[in-house]
Amino acid sequence: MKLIMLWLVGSVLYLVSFSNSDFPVIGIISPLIFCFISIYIFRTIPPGISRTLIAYSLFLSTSVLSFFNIITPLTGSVSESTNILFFGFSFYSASLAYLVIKNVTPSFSDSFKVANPLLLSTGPIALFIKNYSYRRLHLRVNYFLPFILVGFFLFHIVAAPLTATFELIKMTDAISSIVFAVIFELFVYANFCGLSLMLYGLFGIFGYKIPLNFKQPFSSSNIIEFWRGWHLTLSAVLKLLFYAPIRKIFSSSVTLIVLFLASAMWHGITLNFFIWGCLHALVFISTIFLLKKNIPIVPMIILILGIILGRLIFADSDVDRLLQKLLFTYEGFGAFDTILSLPITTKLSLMMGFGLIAIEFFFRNTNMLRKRNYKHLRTPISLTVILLITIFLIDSGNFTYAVYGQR
Amino acid sequence: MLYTGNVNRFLWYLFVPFLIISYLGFLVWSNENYSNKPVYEAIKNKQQVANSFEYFDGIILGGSNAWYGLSAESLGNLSNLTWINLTAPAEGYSDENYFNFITSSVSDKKRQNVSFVIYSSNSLATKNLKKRDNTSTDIVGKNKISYQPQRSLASYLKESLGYTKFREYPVTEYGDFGFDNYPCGEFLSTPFKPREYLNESDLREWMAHKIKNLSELFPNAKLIITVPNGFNKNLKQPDDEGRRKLVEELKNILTKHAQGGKESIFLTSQNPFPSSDLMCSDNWHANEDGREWRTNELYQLIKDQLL
Repeated sequence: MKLIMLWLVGSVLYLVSFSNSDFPVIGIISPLIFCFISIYIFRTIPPGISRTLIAYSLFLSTSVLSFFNIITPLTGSVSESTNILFFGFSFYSASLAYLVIKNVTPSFSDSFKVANPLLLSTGPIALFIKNYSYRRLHLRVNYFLPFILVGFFLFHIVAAPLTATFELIKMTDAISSIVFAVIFELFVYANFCGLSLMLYGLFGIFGYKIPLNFKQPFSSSNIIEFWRGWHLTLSAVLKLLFYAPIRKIFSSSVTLIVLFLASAMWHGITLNFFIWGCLHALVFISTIFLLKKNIPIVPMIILILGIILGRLIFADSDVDRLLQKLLFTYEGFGAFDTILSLPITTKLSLMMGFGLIAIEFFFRNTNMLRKRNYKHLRTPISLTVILLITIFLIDSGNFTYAVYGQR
Repeated sequence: MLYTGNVNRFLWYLFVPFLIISYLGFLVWSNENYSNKPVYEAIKNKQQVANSFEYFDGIILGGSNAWYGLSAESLGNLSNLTWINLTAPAEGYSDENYFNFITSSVSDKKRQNVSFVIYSSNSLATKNLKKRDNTSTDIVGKNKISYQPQRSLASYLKESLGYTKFREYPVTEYGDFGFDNYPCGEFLSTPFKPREYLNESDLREWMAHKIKNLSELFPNAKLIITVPNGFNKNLKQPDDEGRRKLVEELKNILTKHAQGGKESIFLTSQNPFPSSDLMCSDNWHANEDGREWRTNELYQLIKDQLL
């Protein structure tokens, strides 16, 4: 009953906040029906090879639907399902695949967890929703409200004004491409992490614990640590579905290539994601090698280059334009003129966003940041500053959407 | 540590709740006091223009492209007919707002007597139909209350300190844009803002709706639909092919419509502005010279229809 209530609350909040569709109710109901049918099928099939096949089919069906353009590849701009019937498909199918491969026999009530519209519209994959209501309400508010405030700040104050920079994607010279990649990295982080923190806090206050999808990814000195903090729910699914079984047979390098290609395919069947997957696999493998050889500094340099180049590739599904960008032709510093002509709120967002990333990175070994759970932003003094800036700057003029959700 | 704990408790249990409550108060205050004064004044002045004429032969409708870019006064001089300009910023933000604005500004009797309607809509060149359908914004641009204020606290403070001055949108006696009291400023190039023309299905929906509305409002008028244009030379994606297809499709729809007995609709497509010197700050809105250029061009295209 409580899960149904949570689903209803999620539905209402989704309708109020995120629905861009002409038929939003279908977007809420269809995932639920799909999950019911899937769970019915799982329950009729005994554990074993058939279930495993179903799990992989479910996960890969996102790629198939993306290939046939039934759901859009991730673009970074508003990523809606081209077909409202498949709203949130990539998330609930991954979630179901995770449950099945873990050998959990899902119950019908799990549909209300997996297909919660709030999760489907924003991005974290529902690996679990644990009952937490035994903690008293004021304790839950004390702990979880700061996550909502930090997430709100990241989403509305840092990420939203950055959409004014998106025209830079069309510039193909080296400096503009790199500048756009860096800003877009900040945008994706602030947008997706902000929403994930808000949901983590919101579900927590309602008495349910969901996975924390981001853990200060920039508090890292190499790419391995970075991936321990970025989109953790997808990482968990990929680890269970691909890394664990393949590693038993093949070397870690082969396993990592398969893993990153599977991740790329989940994002969309396009050339840029294929290159992105290969690049990140290469960076990951090189980092393992360098760490084993005890070579310092280089993994950190590779981390920075890998993230920027990766985002440059990730962001652009226009193949011709991407190939032009990858020639890295120098045509001056025109991109900075564009940055200077941006609205003051966008420039402030850039400063605050990069400031937050700098704090994550340079103070990563301090007590406050070591646990990688945004404790430094959740202290009363930080929250006061964050709240003051939010109240001072927030307005409805910026275009807000969930960069990862809905598809 | 004792003092740190006290400060933290003070901040978390008193100051943070105080800020949240203050914010909620600001939302309510902001919603009550928000006024888009320049647009409000312009709308009011346009209504007065419509009231000041006992009758008029023609009326210009549409959004800011036509408000800046077409002149009722010049058309009057060219055609020896009486025209007024009843365009509205963002075409009233929604079709419903604009429809209500026209019916409340022009009496039924005056509308019956209108012979020509020029309709120049930005919707043809921007994919904003869904946004227009779903908007909760009123005709002067005020949104319904939400968890985000329409203007930030910073902008209110900036205004109160005298750093922000809102420019009025002057309206002439014919409802035209009063450029005499409005310096346009430097032309700002926006090369990456693409033209996005309506696709076939959107266009069919749009046309059917528009023709029905305008025919109801002005039952005895000849409807002249003009596809607006901007200054395109600096655009990375002018999408001339998209525009050509749009005009072609519009013609097809209107031909079918004419076969259904409604023959009083004429379609025309305007050329892009030849120079940025004709533009008022951006590549979509004309300045005074640009308006003269566009009005003249339109007149040449439609003069046979005005007989």
